[in-house]
Amino acid sequence: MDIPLKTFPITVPIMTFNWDAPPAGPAQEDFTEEELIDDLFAVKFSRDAIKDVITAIRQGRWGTWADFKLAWLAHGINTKGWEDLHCPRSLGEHWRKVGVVPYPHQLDVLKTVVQKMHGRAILADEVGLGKTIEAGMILKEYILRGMVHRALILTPSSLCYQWYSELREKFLITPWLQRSDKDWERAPILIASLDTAKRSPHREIILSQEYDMLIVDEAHKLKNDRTQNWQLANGIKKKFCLLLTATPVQNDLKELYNLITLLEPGLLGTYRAFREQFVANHRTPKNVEELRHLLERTMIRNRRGVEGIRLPKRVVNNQVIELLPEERLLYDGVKEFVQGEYHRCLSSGGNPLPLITLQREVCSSAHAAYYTLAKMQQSRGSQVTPLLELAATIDKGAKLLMLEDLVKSLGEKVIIFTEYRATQEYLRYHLEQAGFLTVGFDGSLSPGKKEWIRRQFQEHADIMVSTECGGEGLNFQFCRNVVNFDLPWNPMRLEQRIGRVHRLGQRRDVNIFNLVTRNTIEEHILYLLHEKIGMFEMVVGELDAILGAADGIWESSLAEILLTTRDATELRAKLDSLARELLSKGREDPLISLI
Amino acid sequence: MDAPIEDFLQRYLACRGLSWQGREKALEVELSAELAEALAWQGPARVLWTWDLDTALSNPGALLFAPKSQSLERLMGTINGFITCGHIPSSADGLFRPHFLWLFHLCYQARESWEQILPVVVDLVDGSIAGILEGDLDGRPGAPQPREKRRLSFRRAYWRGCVFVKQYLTERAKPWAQRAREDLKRRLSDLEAYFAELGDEEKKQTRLEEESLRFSPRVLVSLRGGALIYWKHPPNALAACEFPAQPLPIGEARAGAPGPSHAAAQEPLAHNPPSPAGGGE
Repeated sequence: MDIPLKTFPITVPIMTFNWDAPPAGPAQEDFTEEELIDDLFAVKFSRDAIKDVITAIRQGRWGTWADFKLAWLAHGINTKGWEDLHCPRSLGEHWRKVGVVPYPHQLDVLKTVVQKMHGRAILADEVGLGKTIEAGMILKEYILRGMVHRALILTPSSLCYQWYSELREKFLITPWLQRSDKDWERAPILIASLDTAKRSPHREIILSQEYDMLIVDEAHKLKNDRTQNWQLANGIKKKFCLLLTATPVQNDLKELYNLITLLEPGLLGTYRAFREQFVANHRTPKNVEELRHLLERTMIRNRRGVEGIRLPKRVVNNQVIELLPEERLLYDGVKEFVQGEYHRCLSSGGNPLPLITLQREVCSSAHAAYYTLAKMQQSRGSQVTPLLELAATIDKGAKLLMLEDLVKSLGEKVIIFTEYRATQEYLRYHLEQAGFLTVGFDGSLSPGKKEWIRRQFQEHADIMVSTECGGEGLNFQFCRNVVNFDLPWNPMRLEQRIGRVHRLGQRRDVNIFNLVTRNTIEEHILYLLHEKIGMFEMVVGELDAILGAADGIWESSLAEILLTTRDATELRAKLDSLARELLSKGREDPLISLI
Repeated sequence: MDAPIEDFLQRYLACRGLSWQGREKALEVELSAELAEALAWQGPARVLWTWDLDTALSNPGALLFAPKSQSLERLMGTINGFITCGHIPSSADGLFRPHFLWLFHLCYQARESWEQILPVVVDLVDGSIAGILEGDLDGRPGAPQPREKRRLSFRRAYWRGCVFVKQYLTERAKPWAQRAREDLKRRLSDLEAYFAELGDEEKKQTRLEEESLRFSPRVLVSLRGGALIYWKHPPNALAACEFPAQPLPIGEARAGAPGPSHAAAQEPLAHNPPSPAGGGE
C-alpha cells in the first residue's frame, strides 16, 4: 500500500534584516618604545599627544582660561574613582533608556572578577541568571579602563548574533561578526563561532594573534583537554579570559580541572597532583574545603532562589485531555504493538529505539506516529498496516482542539514545544488555518535563520512552534506562555524549554501548560516529573544533581518501566521508586554539591 | 569624590550662566537648548544632575555625572579646554616669562589599572622644570606685556616634560611597581612549577614570557591638555604633588601614600629627551 506523506503549506511573513557594516576600530595611540626604570617598571610616552597640541595651536583652537580650568578639573575627576566600577556609571543612563536593570548579583560578579580575579574567571551561574550580561559588563569595564583593546568572543554559532546585538544595545560596544579569515586580524572586538575558530586556516591565524580578552560562551565544550576546542582556547594568547557555562562539571572532576587550567595553569598543579590531593573517585572530591577555596579564586556560581535573585513565578497548568475515539483506538493499537515487539526486540538483541519513539510519537500526534509507522511498514509489512491506515484518517486530534481554544483564550504570544517535526508541521498548518500567524523553530536552522525567526516571532507572529528546547542561550523573555504539547522524557529538556522564557529579564509570571492525554504514558510521565520529582519548582542545580546521579540511565530506566509494565498500580509503584532513588542520589551527589 | 564633582558642576553652570538649585546629592538644573542637545537629553529642560549612583537609579529623569560616566564625557565635550593662553597678574617689575603647563595623563598598568593627572610646568626660556602644579591657578586670559621671547619649541617643551615625568615616576612609583612585581613573581612561580612538573620546557618558556610581558608593571604617559602661561617670577603656587593612592587587593589595609619630596620635584633636569622622536622641533 502506498500512502503519500502529507506536507502542509505554511505562510511565512517577510521581514528584512539589517546587518550593520563592521565598525571601524578605535585609533590606537602611538607611543615611544618602552623604557625600563630601575628594572622595576616600564614607561612609554605618547607621540600623538604633542602632535595634537601643535595642530591645535596652528589652527588657533585656543580655549578660554575658564574652560581650560574646567577641563582640568573634569579630567581630574575622570581619572579618580578606580575603586569604583566604571561600567555601571558609564552605562547607568543608557541602561535606564533601554530598560536594563543590573541585578545585585551581576554587579557583585563584575566587582569580584575585576578586583579579585584579575579578569580571569569561570562564570558558572545557573541557566537564566544573565552570564552574558555579566561578561558584557566585565568587557566594558576593561575597555573603559583602557585595558582591553582587542577581544575575541567564541560562542556556538547560534548565539553569535545574540552576542552582537546584546553588546551593541546594552553595552554600546560595536563588535564585528566574523565573516572572513581577515577579520581575525583586523577586528578590535570580534564575535565568532567556536567551531569555525578551531578549523584551519582560522585556527592558525588566531593562534598568531594577541588578544587582551578571550570570552568563551558555553564553555563546557572545553571540558575535555584532548579536544581541538580545549587546545585552541589554551593556545590563544590572552590577558584576560572569561569562561561561561552553567555546567562547569557534569560527570568528572577532571572537567573542572581542565577549565581552571585554561584560566590559571598551575593553580591546581598538574593533573596527577590534583588527582592525588583532591580526587577520591571521578565524581567524588576529597579535601573539599581546600578545593572549594581554590575554586573560589577563579569560579563564581550564582543560584536561583537565593537572596537577591528572584525570578517571576511559574504557574503550572496541567490539561488532561480525553482522546477522541479514533485516537484511542490508534493509541491502544500502537501500545499493544510496541509492548509485544519490545520484548521480542530485547530477547533478539535488536534496537528498541524506533519502538520507544513510536510509543512517544503516538502521544504527541497521530501525524507524527504516521511517519514512523510508514517507515516500519517497509520492514514489518502487514503487521502495521491497520495502524497506518487508522493514523491516516485522523485529522485534528483532541489535543489540537484543546490547543486552539487555549491560544485563543490567552490572546498573547505563545511558544509551543513538541519533540517531533511532523507534529510541528501539523500544528503550524492547523493554527494558520485557524487564523494565527506562526513561525517554526528547529535545530536544523542556521544560526542566522534562528535569529531571524526569533525576531519574526518577537515582532510579528503570534505563535512559535519549536522542536528545539534551545538549550544554548537564545532568549525569548518577551513571551511568557509555554505550551508543552508533548512531554520530553528527559527532565533537563523540559527545564531548558521553560528556561527560554523563565529567566532574568522576564518581568511577568510564566504560564506553563502541559497538555497530556488521559490514560496514556504521558499521564505517567507528568506524574513522575511533576508530582514525584517536583521539577517545575526545582532549580537547575538540583536538576543537574539528579541527572548527574542518574548518570545517563534515566531515559533507559524510564523506557524499561513504561514499556514492560502492564498493570497501572505496579507502574505507579515503579515510578515512585525510580523518583525516590534519583532524588536521594541527587541530593547526596558530592560532585554537584562541590560547586 | 563627591565634593569635587559637585564643585565642578557648579563651576560649569556658573561659567555658562545657567541657573540651578541644590538638592540632596544633586543639582536641579535649567538646561539651555544647546546643552540639552550636547548631552543628548530629550526630557524636560529642568533636570536633576547627580553624582550619586543610587540617586540616579532612583530618579529615572536624572543625569549621572561620575568618573567615566556618559554624561560627564558629554559635558567635557562641550568644553573647549584642550589648550589655552593666560598669565598670572603681577605688579612687580620685570618681564613676564612664558611657561607651558602640561596636563600629563599617567595610566599605571599591571594586573590592575589606575590613572592620574600630573600638571607639569616647563619654562619656555631656559627649558627648566618649574615643578608640579597643585591647587587652583588664579590666571587671567591672554598674553601680557612686557614679556620675554620663547626660546623653546612646544615640541621640545613636551619632551622636557616627559623626562620630568620619568624622574617623578622613578622616585614615586617604586612601591607600586614593587608590589606589582611581587604579584607577578608569585604568578610566574606557580606557572613554572606547573610546567616543570609537566616536563614541557618549551611551553614553560613561552608561557612565562607571555605572562611576564602582559603583566609587568608599566606606565603609559599621554596628554589631556596644555596652557601657555606667562609668569613674572618663578610661580609661588608650585608645590610637589603627592603620589596618588594605589589600588590594593581586596581586604588589605591601605598604607600611607609616600610623602611628597618638594626638593626632588623641583630638582633641575639632568636628562635628555627620552627618545629620538622627542627631539625634533
